[in-house]
Amino acid sequence: MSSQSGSRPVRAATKRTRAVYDPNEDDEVADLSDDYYSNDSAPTCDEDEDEEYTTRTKVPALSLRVKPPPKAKTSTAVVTNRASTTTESSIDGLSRVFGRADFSYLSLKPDHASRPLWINPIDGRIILESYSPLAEQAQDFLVTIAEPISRPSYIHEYKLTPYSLYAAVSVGLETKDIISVLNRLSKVAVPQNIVEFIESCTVSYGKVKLVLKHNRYFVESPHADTLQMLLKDPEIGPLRIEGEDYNNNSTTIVEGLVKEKAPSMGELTIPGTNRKDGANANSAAAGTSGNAAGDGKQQTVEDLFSSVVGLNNDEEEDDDMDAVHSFEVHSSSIETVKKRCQEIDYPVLEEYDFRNDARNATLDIDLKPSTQIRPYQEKSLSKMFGNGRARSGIIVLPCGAGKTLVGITAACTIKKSVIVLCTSSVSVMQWRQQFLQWCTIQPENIAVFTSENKEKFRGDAGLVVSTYSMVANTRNRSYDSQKMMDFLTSREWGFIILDEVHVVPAAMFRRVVTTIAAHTKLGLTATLVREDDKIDDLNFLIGPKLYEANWMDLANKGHIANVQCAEVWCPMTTEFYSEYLKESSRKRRLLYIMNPKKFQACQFLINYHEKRGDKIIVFSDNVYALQAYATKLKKFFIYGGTPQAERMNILQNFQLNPDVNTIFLSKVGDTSIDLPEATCLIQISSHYGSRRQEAQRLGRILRAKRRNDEGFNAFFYSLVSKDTQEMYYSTKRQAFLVDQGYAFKVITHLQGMEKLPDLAYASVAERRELLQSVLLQNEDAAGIERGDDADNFVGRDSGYVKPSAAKKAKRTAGSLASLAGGDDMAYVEYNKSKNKDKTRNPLIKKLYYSKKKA
Amino acid sequence: MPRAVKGVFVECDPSIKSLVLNIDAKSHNVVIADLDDEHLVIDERQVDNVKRQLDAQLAENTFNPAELENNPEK
Repeated sequence: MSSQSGSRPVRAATKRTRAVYDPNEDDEVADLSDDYYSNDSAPTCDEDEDEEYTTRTKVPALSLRVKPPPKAKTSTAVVTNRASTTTESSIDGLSRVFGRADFSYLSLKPDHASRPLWINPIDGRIILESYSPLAEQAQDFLVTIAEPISRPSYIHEYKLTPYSLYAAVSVGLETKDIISVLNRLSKVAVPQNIVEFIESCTVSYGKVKLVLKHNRYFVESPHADTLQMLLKDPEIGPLRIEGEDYNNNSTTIVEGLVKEKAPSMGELTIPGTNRKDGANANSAAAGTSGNAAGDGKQQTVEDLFSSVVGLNNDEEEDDDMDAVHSFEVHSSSIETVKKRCQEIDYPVLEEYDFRNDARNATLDIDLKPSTQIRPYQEKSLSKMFGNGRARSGIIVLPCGAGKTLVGITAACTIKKSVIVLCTSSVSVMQWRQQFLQWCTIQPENIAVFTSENKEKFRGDAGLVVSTYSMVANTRNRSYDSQKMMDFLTSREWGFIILDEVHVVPAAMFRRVVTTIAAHTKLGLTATLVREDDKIDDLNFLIGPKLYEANWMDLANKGHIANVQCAEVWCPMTTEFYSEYLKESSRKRRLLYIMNPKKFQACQFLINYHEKRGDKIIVFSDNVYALQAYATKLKKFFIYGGTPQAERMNILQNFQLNPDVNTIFLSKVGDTSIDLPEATCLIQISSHYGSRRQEAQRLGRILRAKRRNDEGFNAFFYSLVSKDTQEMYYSTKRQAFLVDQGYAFKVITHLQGMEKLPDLAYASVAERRELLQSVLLQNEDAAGIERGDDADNFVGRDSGYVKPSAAKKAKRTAGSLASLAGGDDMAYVEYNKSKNKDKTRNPLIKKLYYSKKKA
Repeated sequence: MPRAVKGVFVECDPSIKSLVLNIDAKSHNVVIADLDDEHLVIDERQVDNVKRQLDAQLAENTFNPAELENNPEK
């Protein structure tokens, strides 16, 4: 013992050198801690040193998430000992760093290593370890109950919000299921306030459904007491009507409520999902064998999931659980019921029991037998048709992942009259063509309602494709379109598909949704982000978000292309930068876009990728830059002012002509142009910090034709001028894609750029010249092109451009005199003295008339 | 008579040099000698001031993700 205590100072000293932060303060720190030990811990000093440190400072090994190496631990221990002499509040050295986010008080479950979730008790964020074997099921569950915030490769972040829980309830999850599954997956017990939050959000949401079936409206709920409460409500109670029983076999009437078996998926199959042919069976087998690697525990969890997520659980549950109660209300009083329910915090969910709707004619529509839908499309649709009825909501899939097919399949499932609304007349034609391609609908049953086409379908049921602006237009309409609108508003629609929901202003949506009576609403989008935060409105106008796909997941499975993203930093040249510093903010924009170094980088990248055999699209929001770049590099370009015929010509050349490998596009190319050949994107200017534009542009190469080639990568470059405002916007724009799991590499220097033959603006004189011409541009050139893309197209009255204007020109023979109007008119002057009556400015009068007199 | 001024030799990117020149343009008491694209000599007393102003100007061009969460409408 004496030998041990004798050796102690030496050991402490060796430790001390590792422990201190600042070598200069070495001795001082060590002395302080030594004093502390000798005063306080003398009785225990014979114990082993390391142990003593940990026990006394109470560093709970489990609660430290980032486990520092043992050396570091002793160092923190020493430092806290110092601190605790003064404050005595902090438990260990690291808690100070975490501040409010120190959750070491939560105790881990013993088998926490095999559970994939962390739950933050403060703000409801959930962290998922996506490398866990359970991650796939956990993801399915989390996407249902929470909002995906960020999903890179290894750690995913989700957040519980009232909306997401509302969505979860609306697809049929119960409060207790949500909590119990969360508890099973979480490393710590679900914190009490999170339980309360979930309960408060789910207790009233979605408990009451308004169901249209057998052409009668029913207020339905699995909880009889909720309905009893509603019936006692002074406003809703009297609205109940006692209808005769429509189905004597399966219903019983208890206390005025009709009780029957809960709706189930039953015999409803979503077309295109029963795959029995060889190729698909193979892929399915491959999938299951991959899963089979997991142990038995995974199996049980899978069962748990299927029962909770409610995909195929209907047979086993006993009848008592399944019963729902309902009472009927008259169709005229629905608005009142809905409003009243909202007021008393029991918002109603609307469901459409389309299989029992006999009043609306059935549309003869089915997917072609050759059409197969992908697993994630099936999953999203199963959320929509989970209980055999159609729910309204939004499905979020990346660009190029087959949103259209999801819409079409949903339409084929409901088999009632369908109306499709999209953003432009180009996409109207695309939807029509897709319908014809994928399903058996007859061409005469598809009507197109645009400013050129105003046709109706024949027969009782059919499909109408139109644009938001056509339907929501409030100004005077032509006679034809008024008639068409009357036709649209007078009927009852089974299903409405709202394409690209994120672009439409809320006011316009409200108008569309209220003028067209549709039983089910499906919103489709790739990017449910708006810079103006109006997304929340969609929750109430359309419905909750039913499904959101994971981009990375789809890319890994080959449904969308793998993309390498890079941000290329181009230094500003000295002369450009000094001008940049002097200019107003709008002109600055032009300077950083026209930066010669950026130009060179663009030229180099085009050159490099053309040699690789890539097809390249260069995007620029700024038309001046677009023209300057394209003419200098001798490439074709398309912007808003390019005539339709020329556009088609350029696009066709790009697709088919091996000599045209690069085109320049302005904003018009962001959404509607579909070019599966493109494999490389270069972005030279963009719409400030719009995250959506970045994602939409990336979407142009996600559907690359060659995506299934071995080792194929598409490339996405964003050229950014260093030390300018552009850096700020660029980072902001990337936020959405980064959250989807894309990693942006930063390229600070392009190897070999200087050696490129005929590099543009290589000499100072050329750069000066460019600077001069840029400075001569007025501020308007720095602006962004107006009109013609999806953002501007919808909701602006002047948005419509007639593409066929050129065809209406007439060619006639004539003389110059006839052009001047001299053929059939003679010049006659009436009332010659009229001019003299005009009152003149006294000054003119004085000057002119006095002179005349003189 | 020759006069000696204490200066600090600065090596930087061309763009940062432009920023320093821009700071100098207001008061003309920062830069002592403009050597070439990447080198300057500036007054020793102004070093802290220049550093502070540079930090402020460069921060304008840096996006902070927390900003997005706080006011998404921006």
